[in-house]
Amino acid sequence: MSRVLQKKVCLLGSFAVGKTSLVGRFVKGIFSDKYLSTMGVKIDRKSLQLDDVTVNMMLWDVHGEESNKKVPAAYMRGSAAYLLVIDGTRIASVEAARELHARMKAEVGDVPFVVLLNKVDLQDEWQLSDTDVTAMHDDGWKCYKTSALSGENVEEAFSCLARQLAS
Amino acid sequence: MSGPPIGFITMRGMPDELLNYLTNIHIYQLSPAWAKLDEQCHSIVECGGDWSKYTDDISVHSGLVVEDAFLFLCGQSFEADFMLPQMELRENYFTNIHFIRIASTPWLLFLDVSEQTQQQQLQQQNANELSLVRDQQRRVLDRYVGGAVAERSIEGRLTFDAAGERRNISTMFIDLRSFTIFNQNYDPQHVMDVLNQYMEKMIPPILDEFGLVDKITGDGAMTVFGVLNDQNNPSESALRAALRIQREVLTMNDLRREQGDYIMEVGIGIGSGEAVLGIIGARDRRAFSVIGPHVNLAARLEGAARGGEILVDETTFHAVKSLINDYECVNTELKGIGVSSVYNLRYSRDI
Repeated sequence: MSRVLQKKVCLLGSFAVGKTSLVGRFVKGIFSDKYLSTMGVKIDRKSLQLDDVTVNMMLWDVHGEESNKKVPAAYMRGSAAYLLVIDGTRIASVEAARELHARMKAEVGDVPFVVLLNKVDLQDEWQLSDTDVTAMHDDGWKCYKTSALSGENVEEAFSCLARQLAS
Repeated sequence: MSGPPIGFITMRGMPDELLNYLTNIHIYQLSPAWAKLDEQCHSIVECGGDWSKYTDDISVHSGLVVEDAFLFLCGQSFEADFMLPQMELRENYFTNIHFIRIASTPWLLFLDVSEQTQQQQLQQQNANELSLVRDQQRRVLDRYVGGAVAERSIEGRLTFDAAGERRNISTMFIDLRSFTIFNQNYDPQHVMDVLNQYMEKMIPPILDEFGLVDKITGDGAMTVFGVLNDQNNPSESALRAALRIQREVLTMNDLRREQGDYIMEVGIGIGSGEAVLGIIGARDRRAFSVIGPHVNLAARLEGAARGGEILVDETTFHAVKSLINDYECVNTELKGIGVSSVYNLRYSRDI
């Protein structure tokens, strides 16, 4: 029997890590290299068909975490899953992701999440070392090296989360 | 006895025109839309206001299930009051969503805050872009002068008087021996690749010891230790960097020898003393510069060093002798300087 699931999924990370671009790539299949800072939450949605389950993902593209502008807890509550986005060319975005992860756990408990190590197309500027990535794996983080520009691993990362929601 | 509402007291005497004006700027411009929910917050009991601003594809009406009317609220708990600020439900339209219970009745209130949000967005955008530029600057500087110098530079802590400031520093020259022959006999692209492999072994030890790579001269470099104010013994930093360079190049050469590749060794000269740090140049092109007698001496020492040798002057030797197990001192004629005591420092391959 087919099922339809409606799930709130948050995208979280430091500012300018590429959250909105990843949603643009995943939902509309487009990419713009113009940086436009997200205010509040941008709502989008995408349905994925996984065998007999339709997962309607309500994507909450939350504004970037900054030292003087924290993500309100109200945005986090009710999330069924989330994506942590890290900019592989900015090592400081790892710390922001770790902090957001801890806050999500406190607000919504152990819900599925995946980690996107984004901007993998900028290899020349890549700052994440193998040690950094290994440390994330050791913490149980499921990581994908993604590029919103080329689309590399974007569908795979969202689908991985959808499968966890459907199971 | 029930008195007039508080609002009534403060408004008493206010002309209707002003009251209307205030109402206009504080309420109407927010284009409120509201929905009264049933006790369980499952469906809409009644609603009002202009919903066209907030929903693209659904008409909000009584009897509608809350989650069907507002899909994005799936999973939302209505047990406590909440406020969701700046929700971009439609492109470029921002909404503050309030959930409140008044006298046990649950309400959803939508307010249009697009104008204020768009103004904030401009400021936010500028602040974020500035922060990204600083990150970019830090990364570029990091590549050329190392993390410690980059960090201090970005934070404005790498300071000296541009007109010239006297400091005790150590200057180290490094140079690949036999490079000229290599350069003449191999394809330029191959020469470039191999040169970069050697530089990968020669530059990081300098940066790790907070040295400033002043110039890279193709097959060598001039580096300065002691530019950072908090370096206590620049000579020791220079020596540690020199020893690591020699050891790492030796190890790489072992591998290259096994593979039948061309081998180059490094000659190193270190001189220490007082120098003037400053900026030299004209308006459009300026460069950091170090001027002092020991700088020329260090260059001559490097010129005299054979592959694998570290030659230092007397000042450097006395500053680092606690780190040295073995050395040879020879009075040597150095071009343009005369006879000087030159210390050839012995080192083991292992640390």
